[in-house]
Amino acid sequence: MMLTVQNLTAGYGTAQVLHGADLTLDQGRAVAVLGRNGVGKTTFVHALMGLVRPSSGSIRLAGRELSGLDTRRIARLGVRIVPQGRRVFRSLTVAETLEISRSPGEWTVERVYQIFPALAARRRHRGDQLSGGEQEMLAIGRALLGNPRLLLLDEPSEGLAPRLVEELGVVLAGLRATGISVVLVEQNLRLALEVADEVRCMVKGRFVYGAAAGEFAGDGAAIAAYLGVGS
Amino acid sequence: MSLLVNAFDGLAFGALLFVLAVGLTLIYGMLDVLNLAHGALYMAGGYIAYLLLGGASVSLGLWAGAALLVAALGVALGGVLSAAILPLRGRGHLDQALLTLGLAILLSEFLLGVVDRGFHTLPPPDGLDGSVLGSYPLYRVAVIAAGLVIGGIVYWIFERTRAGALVRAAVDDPGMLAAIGVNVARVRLSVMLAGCGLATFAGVLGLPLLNLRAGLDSEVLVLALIVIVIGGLASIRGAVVGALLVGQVQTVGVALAPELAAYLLFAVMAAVLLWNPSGMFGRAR
Amino acid sequence: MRFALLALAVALAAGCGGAATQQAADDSVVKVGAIISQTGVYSALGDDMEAAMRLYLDEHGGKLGGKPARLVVADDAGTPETGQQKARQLTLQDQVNVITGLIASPVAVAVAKEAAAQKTPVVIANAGADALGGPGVFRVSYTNYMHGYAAGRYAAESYGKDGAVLMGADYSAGTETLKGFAEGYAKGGGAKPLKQILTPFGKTQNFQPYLSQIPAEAKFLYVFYAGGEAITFAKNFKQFGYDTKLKLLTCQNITDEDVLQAIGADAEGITSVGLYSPALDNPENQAFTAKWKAKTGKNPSAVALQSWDAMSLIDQAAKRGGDLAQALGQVGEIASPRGPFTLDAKHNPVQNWYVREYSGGVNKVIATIAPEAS
Repeated sequence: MMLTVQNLTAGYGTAQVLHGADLTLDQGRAVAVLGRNGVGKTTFVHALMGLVRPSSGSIRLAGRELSGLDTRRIARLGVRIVPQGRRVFRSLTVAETLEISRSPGEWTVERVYQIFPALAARRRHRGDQLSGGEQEMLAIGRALLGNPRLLLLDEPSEGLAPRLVEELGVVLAGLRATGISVVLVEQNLRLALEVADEVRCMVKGRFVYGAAAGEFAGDGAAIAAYLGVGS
Repeated sequence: MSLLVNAFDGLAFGALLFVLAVGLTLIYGMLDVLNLAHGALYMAGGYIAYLLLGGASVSLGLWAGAALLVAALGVALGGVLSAAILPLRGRGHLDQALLTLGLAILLSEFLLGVVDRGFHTLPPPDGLDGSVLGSYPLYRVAVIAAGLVIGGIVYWIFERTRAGALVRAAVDDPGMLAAIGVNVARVRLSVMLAGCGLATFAGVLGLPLLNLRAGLDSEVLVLALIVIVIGGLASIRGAVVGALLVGQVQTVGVALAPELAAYLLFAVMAAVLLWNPSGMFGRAR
Repeated sequence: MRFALLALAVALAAGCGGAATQQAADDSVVKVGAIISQTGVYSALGDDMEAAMRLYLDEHGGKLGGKPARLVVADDAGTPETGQQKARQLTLQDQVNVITGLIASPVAVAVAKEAAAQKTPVVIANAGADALGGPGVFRVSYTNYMHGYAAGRYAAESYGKDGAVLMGADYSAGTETLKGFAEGYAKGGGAKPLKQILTPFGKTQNFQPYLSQIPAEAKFLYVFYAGGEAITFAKNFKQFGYDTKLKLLTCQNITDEDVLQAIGADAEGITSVGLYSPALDNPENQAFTAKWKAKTGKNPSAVALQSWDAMSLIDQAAKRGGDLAQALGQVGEIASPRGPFTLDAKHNPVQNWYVREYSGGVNKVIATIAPEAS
């Protein structure tokens, strides 16, 4: 098992958001974490990255306990995040961002430019001069250059034009083949189902539903119950 | 002609202010610590150089060597300062600023105790003590040159190297920087050390311009604070423009409106803040 | 609450009673309270002040007016609030017979007010504010006005009747000194100065922009700066070559001992008008400079001389006996290292002023300006 999360609780200040979340994920598999707004999806991936300190529970990555480690240690162990809102370094150029994100492995700056030719054309531009789509590509490229074992994606399609969402789907779907495990938080159901092997639905800080992606796609009742769409 | 000399002179003071303020602005921008000991570090640079060189005129080589040694001591003092601030991390700006202020008082009183409470200066090094074009002090030209060189190096490191990119990234989004595996604490420490080294170096550079005395620390601190308020936090460009502007206001501005000399600097600062509350190159925080 | 009030009353009564007996017991001792800046921007002057007072006592067997004397030093930190608080402490708690010291004028004003309320006389050893005074206030230094006035008279005589430009720090000592100069200059037949340039006090690190204001037709410049600004001014004046274009006359502070070492070679040749020079040729001065040099290795500063004379005045007054405040006004001529001086009706000194040229490490006296015949 690449990732095993058990009974994870976390929150901000006194407000607890995660109330015992469990999740397992095999190497090279992608799981989509779905749920309505405010159920704790972002907190979940933040806890995996150490951006929020879990208050209890366990996160094991290839047998190694991550809970309690700081963000940098977790990153060093092979976890990367593409955060909500992209959080690109606004004063760094594309080239600089990719340069400081580099680590030894299969993913190189050239390879990132290959999958995102738009970035190559903008390599001398600063983060705050990029379009939303370009920022998303940069955030993904930044994460991939860490050659992660586990990639966390938080709402990557947010604010993107439909054509870009499609391109994004192709890139993300291709990642599984490279052996990266992916946790994808996504509101766009089509994209989620295109990328993920499995689906987990979250309600009030817990996972309450799990199914293969194809199975979930056909379960209209579950979609209506957990996402509130199509009803 | 006279205004041209004023403007040139403003450049000399601007160059000195830049070397002093660039560290302050980066430390505030990155560590979120308003280092009120920055003026005391400047003062320490001056007093240590005075102790080393004994107030006598020396060769340029010896002078430069002393300046580098003082900068190294400034780096060490920066280390002490970092260690002192560490326990207060997350305690808020006021606590940290008060701590640095307390350390500043300790440092400056210690220096005054070691030397004395009187006035001291150091003449420019041999070869730089003359004047150019009849009546402009050569040393001030040298200060401008030194400011250009240091400014150029700092700008190059900050804008063109990997280390500089790490520093800017740490200003932009330290959490995200940690999330790509970078040791943000180490980046911050480097900035703190470099900033403190530059402050003490500025103290040597400024020795023939501003005499050593009790109260020198707060005098230069106020100027450096004005520079970063005008220029904006954590911006090298802001420090450059802010320092040059303060230099010009203090020379050309004063020459044009001498009766307003006491208020001019604050008027310019207020005008900049009205135009953009986060300074000319600052960002909203 | 009631108990607390009672306790307070008891404490007050006890305090008053204690003080009364203490005063009675202390009649055989002269207690001098010295309010001195031991910290703050004036602390360099404070060091000289205290050293000179202690030197006077040491040289006079620890006695003033034949009685054992005690010097109680309090630090005003350069602020009027602290000064006033220390004055209260010295008068009420230490029961001093007289307060002296007082470097900065704002501090002296606050202290004089407090001392008047406690009926304790004050001997000012430095502060120069013109308005400072009162029935119990005596000054052995000078008023800013007289400092400038003497220089103005001399300038009219020796620098020409026109072409004067005045320059100084924009605070009471600066403006009062310049005002005195303008009036002394006019009295000597000089024309109205071409220009008066005031610089922000304590905030001027560079005098170049102000020096560039001097009109081309200027013939000479009279300046007032003290302390750090004096150093910066003297250096800037020389560095920018003004010494070759313009004659310079300065107040005594620009070439006083506290700044000379820092100004270094740029002080050479500066002419100033002051109340003292270590080079004065009289027996009192020879003895004083010798003792001071033996103790500090330096020439005495104006503040050192004034502080010595403050103790000397108290010494003479105590010798007369009776009420000290009254005696201070009846001392008459005081034999000082600066030459003899008396106090006028307002208790300010009537004294010689000296034109001094700094050369070879000392302010040489090149002319004497005697007090105006009144």
